[in-house]
Amino acid sequence: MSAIDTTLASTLVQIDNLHFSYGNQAVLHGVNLSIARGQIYAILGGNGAGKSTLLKIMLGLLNPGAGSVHVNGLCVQRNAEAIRAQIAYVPELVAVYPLLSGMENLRYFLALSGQTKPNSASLEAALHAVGLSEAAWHQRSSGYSKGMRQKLVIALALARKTPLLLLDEPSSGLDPAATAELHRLLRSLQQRGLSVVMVTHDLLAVTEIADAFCFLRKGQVLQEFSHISGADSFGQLQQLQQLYRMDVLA
Amino acid sequence: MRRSVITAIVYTQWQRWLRDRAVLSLAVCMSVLLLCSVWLSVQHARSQAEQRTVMQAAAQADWDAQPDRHPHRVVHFGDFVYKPVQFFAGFDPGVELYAGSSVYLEGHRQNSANFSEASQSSSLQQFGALSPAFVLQTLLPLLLIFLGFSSISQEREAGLLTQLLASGAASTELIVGQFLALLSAALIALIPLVALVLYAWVGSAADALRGAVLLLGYAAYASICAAIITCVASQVRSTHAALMACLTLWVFACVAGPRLASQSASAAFAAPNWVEIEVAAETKLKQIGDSHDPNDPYFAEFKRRTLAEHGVARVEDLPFNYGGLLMQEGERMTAEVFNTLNTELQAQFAAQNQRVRNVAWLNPMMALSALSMSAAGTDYAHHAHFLRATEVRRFAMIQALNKIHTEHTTFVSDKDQRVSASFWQKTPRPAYQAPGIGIAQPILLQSALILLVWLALALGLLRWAANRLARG
Repeated sequence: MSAIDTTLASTLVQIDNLHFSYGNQAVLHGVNLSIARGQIYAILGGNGAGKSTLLKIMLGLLNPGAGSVHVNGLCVQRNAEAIRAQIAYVPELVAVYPLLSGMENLRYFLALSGQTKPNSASLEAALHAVGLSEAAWHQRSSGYSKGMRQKLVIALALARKTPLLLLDEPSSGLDPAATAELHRLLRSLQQRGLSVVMVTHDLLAVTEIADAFCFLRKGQVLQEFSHISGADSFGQLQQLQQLYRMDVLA
Repeated sequence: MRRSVITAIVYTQWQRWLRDRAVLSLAVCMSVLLLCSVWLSVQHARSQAEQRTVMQAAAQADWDAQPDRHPHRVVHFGDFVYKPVQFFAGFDPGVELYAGSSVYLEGHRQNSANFSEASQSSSLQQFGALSPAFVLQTLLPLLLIFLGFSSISQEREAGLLTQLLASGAASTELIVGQFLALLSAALIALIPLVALVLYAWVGSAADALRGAVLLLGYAAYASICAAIITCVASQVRSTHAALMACLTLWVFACVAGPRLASQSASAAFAAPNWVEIEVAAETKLKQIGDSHDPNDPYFAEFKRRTLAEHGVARVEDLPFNYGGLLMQEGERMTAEVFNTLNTELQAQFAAQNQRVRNVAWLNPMMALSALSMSAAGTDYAHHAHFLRATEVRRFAMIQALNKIHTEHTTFVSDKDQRVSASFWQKTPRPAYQAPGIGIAQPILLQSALILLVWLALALGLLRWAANRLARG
């Protein structure tokens, strides 16, 4: 068991000089990031920028070639299982077991995290909090929409009481109403003390919800931004759109 | 590894199976098939046992009903021995379907075992028997494939695997949980065998021992199958690829492999059929000597020696019937020739069986098949014991009758004489005692060792698969 690095206590996620390759294909080259607690942080980038790979490294599912990732003061490479206990992950293609009901899925995933006998009231509270309709709780999740599945997995994060929520392309496949509902939900989670890190290529979503974000291109952080508001917003948006075009056209 | 997590994985997997109509239909079909096979096989074995008991009693009654007659008539009247049916023959008929169930014992020749079920059935027998052993050896792995091919591979395909790992489940827990879920399904299929073993326990300790060996063998095989399927399913990228890989392994292990091994063994160690052995015996006997030819050098010398031994000039002056003595000598020679040819035949069979058992190092199904037949008492070792025992009985009986012929009849007017029927009662005809499981000890030990090595390999593969899964 490694000691928590107290110098990183105010930072939730600290990424230093991170490199990663799939075989000979380099995906991340020297990524440096610092994500503060309580933030909704977005990692923007086009296809193949390395966003999802970065999330998987943060989860300890991939080992970086060089560099380090600390989550909540713990080095991911050395404490992958302990880190996973502190992170809830919502993938882009969010999936649940279709033959189980929403409640059964929730209980199962909780059991996998080590909570074998969760309090029913806390589960119901989590499901209420994410806005999954009560009628759906005991229905087989084979009939769930992507939005419902997302809510279910986010409810898991609440039930697990993890300090960090990672979302991979959360708004892909959602209609505008569902996206707006998701954003409201993420804000409410933030108010409950959760930090959110999301990777996305949805520029509008980022400007709407993120407290801070970075732009990742070809495995490198091109630029970091704080929340777009006030007088600077127009200029920042223009800059972002320019970066985005560069990425798409590259 | 956390026990609570593994329990949750096993429980949830069962929940999913029980809600999947395709899986349920398959499981119901398999259960019906297994129960039918147990019921039909046990009934069939029971009826065979009853039939053989009745036939053995009838043979005894026919023997006892013989009147006063010439002993050589009794030699040709002959005797029948029926092979007793082993308790687990219904579970695994082994070679019983193809090997004969009775032997006709008579003078001057050794007969092969006759009236095998295959020889008395229509061409439907070509499909083989639906025995519980066949269902467990061949169809159970198929059921396990359909239950397990999608475990982990489906999760990977649906994107659930990352979520499972991100939820805090260790890859080892996921693999072991899926393996135990599959193993539990396999062990349920062994319940009929457990019931048979318990029933055997009540009847005889020897049968209970056979049952325990069977149970351990099948449990090891089920574990090997479950581990390999889990391993394959966890490593391939899609459910389709997992299914194809598992089915390919099944075809090689359960369908093509055993047939290929047995045919190559038959080709490598060709064995003559019984007709060829009889022709060879006749040829050899003619070469040694003809007791009916007065000029035959061997029998001329035998006669000279006998007369010299008793100090007489003519066979009529001997204190016994020379004709009976000739029969004894002829029988000794015939038996010797047949025994030599039979030993060569058995050596070929042993070489074939050994070749197949050696190939079983590559195929746990073949090792289980050998263990199953041996433990059930239906393998070739048990059949060969029956053949050897019947030959011992035949030779003792025929020579006893030839001795009566020699001592209680005279050379002059030999064929017109009769001896008392009470002699037939005293003729040695010991009842056949089936051997214990120990007769198949080398086969059992080799098969058990192969299964243990495979089990260790399969569990090692699981560990490797878990490590690989953890690395993404």
